[in-house]
Amino acid sequence: MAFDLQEQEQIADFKAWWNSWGKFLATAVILALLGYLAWQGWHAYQKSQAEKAGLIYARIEGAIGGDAAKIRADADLLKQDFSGSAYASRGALFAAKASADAGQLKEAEAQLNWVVANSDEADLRDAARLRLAAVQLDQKQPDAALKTLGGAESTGFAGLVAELRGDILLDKGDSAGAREAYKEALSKLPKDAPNIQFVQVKLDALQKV
Amino acid sequence: MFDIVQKNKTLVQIVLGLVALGLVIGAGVSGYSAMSGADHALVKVDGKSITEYDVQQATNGQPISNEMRPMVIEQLVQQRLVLAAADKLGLNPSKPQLQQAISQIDAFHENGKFSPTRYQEMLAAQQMSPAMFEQRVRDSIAARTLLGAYSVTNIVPQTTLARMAKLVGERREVQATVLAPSAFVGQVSVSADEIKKYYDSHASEFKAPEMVRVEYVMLSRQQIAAKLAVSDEEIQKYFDAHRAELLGEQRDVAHILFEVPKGAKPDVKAKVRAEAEKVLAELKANPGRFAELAKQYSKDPGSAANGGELGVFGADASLVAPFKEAMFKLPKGQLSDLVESEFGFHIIRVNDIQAKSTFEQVKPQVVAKLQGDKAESQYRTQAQAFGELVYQKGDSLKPAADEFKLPIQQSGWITRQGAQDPQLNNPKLAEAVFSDDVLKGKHNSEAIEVAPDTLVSARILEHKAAQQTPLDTVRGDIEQRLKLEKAAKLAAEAGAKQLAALQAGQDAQLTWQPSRQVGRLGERELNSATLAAVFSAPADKLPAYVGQEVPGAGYVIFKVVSAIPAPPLSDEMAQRMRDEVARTYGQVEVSKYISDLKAAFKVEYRKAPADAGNPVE
Repeated sequence: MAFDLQEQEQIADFKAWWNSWGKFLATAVILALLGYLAWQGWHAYQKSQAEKAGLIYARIEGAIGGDAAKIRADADLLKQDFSGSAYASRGALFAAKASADAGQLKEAEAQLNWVVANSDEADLRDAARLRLAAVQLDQKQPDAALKTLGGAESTGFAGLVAELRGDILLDKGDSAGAREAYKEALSKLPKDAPNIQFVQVKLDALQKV
Repeated sequence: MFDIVQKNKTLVQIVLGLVALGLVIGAGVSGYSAMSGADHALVKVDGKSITEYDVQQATNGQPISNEMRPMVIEQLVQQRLVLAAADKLGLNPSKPQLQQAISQIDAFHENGKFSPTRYQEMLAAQQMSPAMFEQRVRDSIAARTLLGAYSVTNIVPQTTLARMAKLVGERREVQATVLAPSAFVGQVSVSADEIKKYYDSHASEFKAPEMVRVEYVMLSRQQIAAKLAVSDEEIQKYFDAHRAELLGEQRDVAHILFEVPKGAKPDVKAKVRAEAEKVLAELKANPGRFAELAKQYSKDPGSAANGGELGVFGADASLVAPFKEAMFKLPKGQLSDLVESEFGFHIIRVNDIQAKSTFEQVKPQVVAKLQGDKAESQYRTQAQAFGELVYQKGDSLKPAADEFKLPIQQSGWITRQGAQDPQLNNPKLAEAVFSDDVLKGKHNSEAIEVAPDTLVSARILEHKAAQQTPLDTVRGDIEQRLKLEKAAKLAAEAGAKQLAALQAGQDAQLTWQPSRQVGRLGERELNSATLAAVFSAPADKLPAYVGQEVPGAGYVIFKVVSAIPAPPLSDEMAQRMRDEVARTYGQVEVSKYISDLKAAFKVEYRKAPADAGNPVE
């Protein structure tokens, strides 16, 4: 079969193009393919990681109310092997709760500090700060507790933060400061929040006649 | 164990309920969104639609009021937000996690172990596919994992708890005296001028609304039914078929089971039948041997040892169908022939029958039921013709009344808010009679279903525009109201004066009500400021006095008689309080977290369709 002149010209053009660009194209295709495979592999890896982390977390959740040391061991496992996952911070919060319930405040503090430093979720970091400040208050460190609350980010927990700040200030003997903090809490909590009457009672108890 | 009693239905309902509760924010049904088109989206959460279908699923298909709707939709939005956040954070449970969770649900256990057959059966009983159920459990776990860190890990400082226990637990003993406005009414007078002024400035309160009276015809299935004849034969037949439920029968039964294994070969089955027939023949000859033979032959482990006694069952018992049918047909004391069920062959005996009512008592009920059933198809046909006739012959109700032999009745007053006659008190009817076509066009209204299977068409007899009630009609009311207002002011002044006197240590001649204790929480009568004052009175300088104006009641003076400190908490009580307070704060965190999620994900509300709202005046 013979090509006409125009076709021959096109073929020649193509050959010239291939000589200068062919290698590049082939490399690009191979790279894309490798990238795709890596992406797939990464996903499969992620999935299997999440699976493992999920099972450990389920174990923690099931053990709540039980041995604090065991829960901490599982939480530490999550922090060590799956530190980037959302399970790790949650496990640490459960471990902190179990520790605090068992009166092991130092251990609780360590778990909570980890969440504040490592969680990717602002709300969860603030939840950890609330618990951390509570634990610090119970260890007679009101100033450390206030400092912890001072680090709170701008999340929906501002009302709760203000309430706890009031509790801490009152513990330090600063009634005026506590009153202001409780008022702030009332203004920031939704009107139907179930804790609102607690705040009101605490505030009323400080009211000057 | 032999499951002649399929009693686990409720159990599964409970378990499914719990799983749904795990969502914290209401039951979730997923996996259906693909079925509904995006055009009907009421809300889009993170790009996914919430549709009318979802709303219906959420309410189990129950109709809901327009006021409830936004709440249900809001719940769905929150639920979707939670699931979207869980997904984004990689908190969806994996397959093994899901399997583990399901296998731990007690209701699916048999002999202490998860049973796949049982799982299938229970879901089938709920008309749910495994995929649907698994989706529910998956959503539930994801939500619990996402929210658990907020809802159950709360730590309340002991210092705070101790103070709260003291505050919430302490009480004050108080006595009250009330200066009621009624005691001061004699001292006040109201001028004609004041009454006029009040009337003018509250004109809108003294308005009679727009009203109409209508004539109407009503077509109902009940009316049709009442005219239908029912023969004694039909009554007897229905009664026989439903006697157990109608009479509320409770039957005490015993049985002997000859088990035929599932998928047994015909010759095996024949052998079992032969054995059963032999025992039946023996029993017919010697009925007294029932218990003995049950012990010897019955393969029902639940009842065999008991001489075959199964217990007492009513019409609602969950028993296998052939067994149930047979036991409700048997006369008392007589043996059944062999009854075949999926478990094998049964010989059944009814020991005793207790009935709550007699045939004569339930007869009217049966007649009404049969008439109602018969009337059903007649009503459907007539209803359609009725609707067409009142529309086509729109200038009079007479054709419809003649055609269906219905009386033309006259109503009392109807406003846009409702009707005096209960049978006409229906918002759709009110809307129709105030429509232009009926009110101004003087036409029949369309046929309106005012109650299930009851149609009404109405036309206007009389129309009264909204009008001002004349001052003379309401003069007395206004005078009374103004007098009370003035008297309340006097009462408050007198009360404040007496309070000051009491606080200065003078004895005011007052009668005190018997003393009672008040706490800081849950007092409805005392407002926050009064309560605070009652509690802040120094405990070593009692009695103290606090006053408060109570709208409607007058001026109240409280005498604080004694202070009762909070009782010491036992360890157990302290623990319970700690848990409860932590849970309360957990709830606050969860709801705050969810409102934060609203900012993190795109939530688009669509405008409700125009016909969803109430008619506007």
